[in-house]
Amino acid sequence: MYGMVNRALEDMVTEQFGEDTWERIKAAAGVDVEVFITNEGYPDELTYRLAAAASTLLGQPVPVLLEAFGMHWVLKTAREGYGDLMDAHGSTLPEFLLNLPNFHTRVSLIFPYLEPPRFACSDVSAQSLRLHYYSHRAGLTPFVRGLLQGLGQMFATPITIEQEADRATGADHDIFHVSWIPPATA
Amino acid sequence: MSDDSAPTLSAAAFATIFPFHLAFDRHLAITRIGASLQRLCPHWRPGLRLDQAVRLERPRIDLNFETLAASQHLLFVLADSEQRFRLRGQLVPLEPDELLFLGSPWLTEPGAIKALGLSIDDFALHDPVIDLLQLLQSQRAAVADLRKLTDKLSRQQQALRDANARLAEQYSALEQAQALSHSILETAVDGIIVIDETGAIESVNPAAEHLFGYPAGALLGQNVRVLMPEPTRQAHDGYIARYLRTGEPHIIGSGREVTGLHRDGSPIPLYLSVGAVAGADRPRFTGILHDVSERQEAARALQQAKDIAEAANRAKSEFLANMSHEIRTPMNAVIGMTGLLLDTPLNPEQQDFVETIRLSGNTLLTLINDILDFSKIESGRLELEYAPFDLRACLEDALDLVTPAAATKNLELAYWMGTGVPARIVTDMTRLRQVLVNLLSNAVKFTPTGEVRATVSAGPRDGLRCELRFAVTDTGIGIPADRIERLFQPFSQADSSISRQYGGTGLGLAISKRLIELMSGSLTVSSTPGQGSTFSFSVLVSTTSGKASGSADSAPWTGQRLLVVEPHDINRMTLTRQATSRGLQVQAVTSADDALALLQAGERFEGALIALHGPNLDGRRLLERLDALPEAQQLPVVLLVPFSFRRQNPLPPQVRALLVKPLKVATIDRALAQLFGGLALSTPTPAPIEPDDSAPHAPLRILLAEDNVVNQRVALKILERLGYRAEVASNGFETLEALARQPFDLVLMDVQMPELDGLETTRRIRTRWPGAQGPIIIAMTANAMRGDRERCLNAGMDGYIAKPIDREELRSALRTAGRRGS
Repeated sequence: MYGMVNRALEDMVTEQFGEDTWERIKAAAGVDVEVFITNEGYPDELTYRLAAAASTLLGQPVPVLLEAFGMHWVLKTAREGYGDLMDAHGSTLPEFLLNLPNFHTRVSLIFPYLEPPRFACSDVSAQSLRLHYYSHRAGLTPFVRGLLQGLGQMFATPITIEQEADRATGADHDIFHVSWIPPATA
Repeated sequence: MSDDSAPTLSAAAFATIFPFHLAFDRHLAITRIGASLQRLCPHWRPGLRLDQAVRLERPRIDLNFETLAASQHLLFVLADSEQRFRLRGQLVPLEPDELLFLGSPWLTEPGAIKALGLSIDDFALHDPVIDLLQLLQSQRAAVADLRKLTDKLSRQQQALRDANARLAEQYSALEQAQALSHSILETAVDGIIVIDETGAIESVNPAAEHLFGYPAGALLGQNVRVLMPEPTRQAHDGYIARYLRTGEPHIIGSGREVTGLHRDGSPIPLYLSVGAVAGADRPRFTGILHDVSERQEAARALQQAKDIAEAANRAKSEFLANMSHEIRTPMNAVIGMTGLLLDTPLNPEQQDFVETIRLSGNTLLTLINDILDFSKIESGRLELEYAPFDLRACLEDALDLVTPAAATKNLELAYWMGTGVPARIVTDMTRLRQVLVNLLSNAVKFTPTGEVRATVSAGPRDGLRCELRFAVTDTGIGIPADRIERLFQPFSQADSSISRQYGGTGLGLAISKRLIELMSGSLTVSSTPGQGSTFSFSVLVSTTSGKASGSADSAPWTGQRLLVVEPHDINRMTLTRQATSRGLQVQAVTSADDALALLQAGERFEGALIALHGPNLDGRRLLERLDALPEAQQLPVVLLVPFSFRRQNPLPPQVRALLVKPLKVATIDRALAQLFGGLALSTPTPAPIEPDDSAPHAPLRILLAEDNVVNQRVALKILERLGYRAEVASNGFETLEALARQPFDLVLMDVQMPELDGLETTRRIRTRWPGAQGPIIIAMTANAMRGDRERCLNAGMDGYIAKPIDREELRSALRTAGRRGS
């Protein structure tokens, strides 16, 4: 997993609960990494351990934590590191969502060992689209949901997310029906 | 694939693939502009000359069509004329007279897309610029990570440096502490040994090595047991094991005397204090050893000296006791014989000689008894006898004894019991009275004029325990401050010339002080030369229930009015308190004028108590003046007279009785009864108002067996008042000697006497002089315990009188003895 993901988790916990809590979470997860390198690849299992330990210590279920984490990712972590690039990827939510597949394609080219997820858009209309999420990693669906929520906030666009297919229930991939109210009419 | 088969692009496809293309003709006039480039430079129009739109940065060639056409193999960098951006690309021929620039903006800042008013959609998908930007961004993120890591490392390094500095400081402090410890260990006079949990010696200082006779270092590693003799040696491992198992310190944390074992096998007396080393990684114990050979030797010498001194003191006390006894025996014979001699016909001169012999004998006996008493206290053989008794009776008895002496000097003698003073207390009555008599006697002895008063007040009470504070105050010669210290020393008086002037052994105060200390009290004195002295002492007593003498059973004269004329404050207070307790309404004044003023003001009384003498008071004169007052002519009066008063002239008619000082509650009650009627007051000891000097001299030969001098004096005084005289024996042996010497009709036998007690003495008397040959024996004892009477009668006694002696009871016993004797 991208170091940026672990870093984001660290930032979120530190910001809300302080550095000591993060150190305790790391200790509970058996993770001995001082600084996560953003573009470095880390074992997925390490991220899962951190999430599980954070869930235990903060008393929050893992899915809730992951969703919050997804929002934090968009609004804080990615904005701080890739703000300009994100801006270039679209000035509206639909623009950004439509660029999501290419963005991840580029990431996969630049960091081939990171095995980033794959996104695809279909059924694009003026107020909705279907976002297809493909990943070899399990259990990160709530994280994607949080990402989408975060993007809605970033573009000041109220959105509704409806998960139409769930890998956890046997689907090939997750499908989110994302609908929004265009800012001009919101 | 050959050129012929090259695909032909539609205009739309071309625009998508090359959104930043730019074409120009031979005259360098722009002919086409890609859509994205047009958005970037809206003012560019076809026909605009190329050199007006851009500047050729690379290659550095002349900007003319031919040169450009010849440079198709070179990478071109064009900067816009406003220097906002650069285009990167290459030239390809489009038409014979037209060249096409294919490229896109060269961006190194992700923010530049937005800054240039572009979006990601302005770039062809194949254009790697976006990927480049993403890569750049990643690189920056990596640099930021690196910076963050570096910062963190720097912080950690700083923290490490700080920690190192602290450690260095601590290490330095530790080194200093170690140097100090080492210095202490090396120079300590006491031996210091550190052992581990197995008893192995880890550290030992030179003093310890020297103490046990080992060369330097020889003890290290050895078990500390080698320094202990049996059986400590065997037990030692057990001590450590038990401490480690239970944590019970036993000797740890404390010190004690032990015996150590010198290397040569000799024992060493030591004082050892053992401690557990705190904070050690494993258990360690320290032992500090002090050689106490010299101390023990000194203590032994001291004990020896003490033993010798005590033996000498005992020998002295025994010598004194023996001497006293040896002297007393012939003295008793002298006194006894003079008594017999006084019963024979003598001429006045002979009578006087014999009386002098008898008086001197008694004085000498008192001195001897004092010495004996003191030696008994000094040798610790005196034990207090605790019994309940009436405090007021005890005080009045003590006063009685000094009354004649006080009367010869016309001293006012009075006592006062403060409020809250318990009526009945438990302590040694005999000894308390002895102290009071001693202080009162001294006060009377050293007071030429004025008064002597005894007061008692109640101190703090703790349940049944109560502190009583006594004070004997006089208006005598006083004691200079520099003499007070010597006052309580035995055989010492304030001034040696005083003993010549006033007599006495100088033992009285020393005895009193010791007695009070035995009663958990202390004796102090304050004095002003020329004005008088106050001797005060406090004793802790137990209180007990029971009716006190003089306590009011009834108030028979409620509402009647009494006039008291008495200048002396304590007497006035005593009279007022007692009369009030009997229900009377009392008006007390200090002078005749005040009394007359009251009467003239219309105050009416049913009776009056009037002092015969006093400052500003002439009682007789007052009576005459009262007689002259019509409203006071019938006023019944009791006259308060001193002990020395002897009736010479007839008393004025209104005087119903005389009340002799010192005042006692019983005599006051009787005086009040004379005034107001109803003699049948139930006072425990209805004493006569006047001295009972009218009793017939009964020819009874009485022997008083009593060890305590004061008790002797009390008993003798009462007997004298009743008209009897008695011989004295101070213990059982003396009693038997006296009986062997001369016959007696009656023996008043104290039960508790030293050497031979009253019970055993009685048994011996009954054996030696059976039946009518022997005297009547009456027990006199403070042991008012159940069964005492039976024990006395079983021993062969004929009767039993409890102390303090009840005069009527004694009178009755004497009458019985008289009847039998006659």
